[in-house]
Amino acid sequence: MNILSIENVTKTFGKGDDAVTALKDVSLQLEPGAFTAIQGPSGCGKTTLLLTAGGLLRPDSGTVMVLEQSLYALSIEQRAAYRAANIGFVFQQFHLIPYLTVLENVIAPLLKDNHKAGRIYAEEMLARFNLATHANKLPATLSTGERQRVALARAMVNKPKLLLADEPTGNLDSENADVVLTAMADFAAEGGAVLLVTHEAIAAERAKTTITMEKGVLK
Amino acid sequence: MQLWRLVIKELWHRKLNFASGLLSVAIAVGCVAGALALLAAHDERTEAVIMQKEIETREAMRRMEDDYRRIMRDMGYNVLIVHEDQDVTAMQREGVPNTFLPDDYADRLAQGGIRTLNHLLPVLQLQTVWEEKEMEIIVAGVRGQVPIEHRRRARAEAGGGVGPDGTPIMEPVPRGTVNVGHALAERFDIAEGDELPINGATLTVNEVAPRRGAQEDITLWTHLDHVQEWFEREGQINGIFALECVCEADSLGQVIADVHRILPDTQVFEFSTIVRGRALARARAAEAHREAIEAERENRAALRQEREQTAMVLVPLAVVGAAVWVFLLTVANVRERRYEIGILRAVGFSAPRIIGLFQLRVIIMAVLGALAGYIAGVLVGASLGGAALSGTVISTTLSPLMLAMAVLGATVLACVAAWMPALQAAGQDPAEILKEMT
Repeated sequence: MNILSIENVTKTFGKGDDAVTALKDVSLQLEPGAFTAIQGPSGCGKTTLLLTAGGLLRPDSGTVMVLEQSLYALSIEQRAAYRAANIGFVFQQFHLIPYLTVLENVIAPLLKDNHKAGRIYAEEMLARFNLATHANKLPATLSTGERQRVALARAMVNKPKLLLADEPTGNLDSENADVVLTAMADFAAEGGAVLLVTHEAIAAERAKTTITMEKGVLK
Repeated sequence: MQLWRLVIKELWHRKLNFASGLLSVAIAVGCVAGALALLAAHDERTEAVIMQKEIETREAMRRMEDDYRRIMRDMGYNVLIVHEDQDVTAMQREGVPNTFLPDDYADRLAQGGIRTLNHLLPVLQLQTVWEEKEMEIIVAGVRGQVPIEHRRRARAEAGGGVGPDGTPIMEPVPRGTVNVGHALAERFDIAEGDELPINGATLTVNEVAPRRGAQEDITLWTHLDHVQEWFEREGQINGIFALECVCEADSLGQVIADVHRILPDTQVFEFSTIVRGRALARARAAEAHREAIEAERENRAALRQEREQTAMVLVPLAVVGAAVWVFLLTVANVRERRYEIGILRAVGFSAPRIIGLFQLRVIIMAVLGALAGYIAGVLVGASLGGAALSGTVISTTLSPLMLAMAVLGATVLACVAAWMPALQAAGQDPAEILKEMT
């Protein structure tokens, strides 16, 4: 069973002469254990692909299935719930919530019904990413690498099956980048699937599969 | 993560925005509560002022009534009841009536429940020549005032004391004695205790009357029995003196009606207009007091209307102003948290949860603002209205029900004001935001 299955997805922004096709008939499958990197220049459609795969951007045509569920067959709210349960996001800018502590940022996606167990798991995650001593600190007091590790912990706290990462090592030194990439590799090794969008060769090298993208087409 | 915890954290992080919203709600609710308390305090104060004035007026009127009663008693009788056939010109010419009444008429009047007359004094007055002194004088026989029955009972029930009819204008003259008019005493050098020969009888001088400048100065007052005997008028009198009650300014008509009800064959003369003038002045004073109270009531009503009108302008302005301010603050908050919303949406926050973030925020703002504003408003309003801070105004306007209504009203209004921005926040396209962020 594929964790992610994208079939013939096309996405165009704008209309008429100003129309820009970000994704052209894109198809992609990620099985459990997949760690796939998408490389390509800026504006080639990498982020559009990631957002579409995450159920955040409806394609003009084609289907996106996560764990055999067609994301865009769901309503917006059903999709949000499905995303919360099954998909984790990591961004280049981390986007931690500034007024929450490290631990609170990690548990922010937790819903009421899994709050207690999730909190324990979050503390385990912080320990795993060497952040246990920073649990009650605000993000502003952390280093860049530490913040990205917090973002990664947040993406994984709901134990998703699919991890979508957009240039997660773009702002990190090699040591921190290695920690993040290792965590992603571990996530895939534990049965998840990682779709990594990056333009860094070193990050792409850690992936099992690397696909190049140019002008909205996977090659 | 629990929504309320996220909201509390955010409130603490953006204290100025929150405090500003809380203050605007507090001002609006404070204006409403202040206006209510001010008007309630005004009403309470008005009641107190009017009540105080009424007490003062009642006290002043009571004192004035006592004074007039005393003054009128000191002035003497001002009503004379004579036989209906009495010719007025003859009475004025001779100085005394020349028609006669049974001497129990005063008793019948006293027992007949008359209310418009006091101090009933039956008298037999006759013009005669004092043979021993060879002088024309007036002899008046009296046996003392006849107590008016219903007043006697009332005084007895009240445990005695001085009241209408309580102290007689003229004390009875004991048998065998005589009271001598001032002019006669002066002319014949008569003093108290002298033995005085009067038309064959000898009477002891009981009292020399003070100068009155009237017919009384040439009058000898003795017991009614002596005069009836001298003039062979046993069982007869020719007049009943009385003092008109001070209860009404224009009471002569009532006096006549009352007397005729009991003694139909009599007529009534009022011979002192000073008494009427004073009674009229007393009535005018009472009227002036009533008018002063009414004027005070009208002034207070006008002031209340002014305050009501001010409140009617101020309260809606404050409420609308607060709603607009909460709306603008929420718009600013939504803009400031655009990326945060994008992240939260990406990690699975539903639109209702995003709306809840903003609505819970304004609910906390409204509840705290309303509580603070209401209490402050009541205290300030009551203070401006002149009510005591421990008074009924505070306890009434600070009731749990009123407080709950204020809090509920403020919360609903704040939620309505924040609804559109919250909806806009929830409706933001997370993909758009996340693409902006990359």
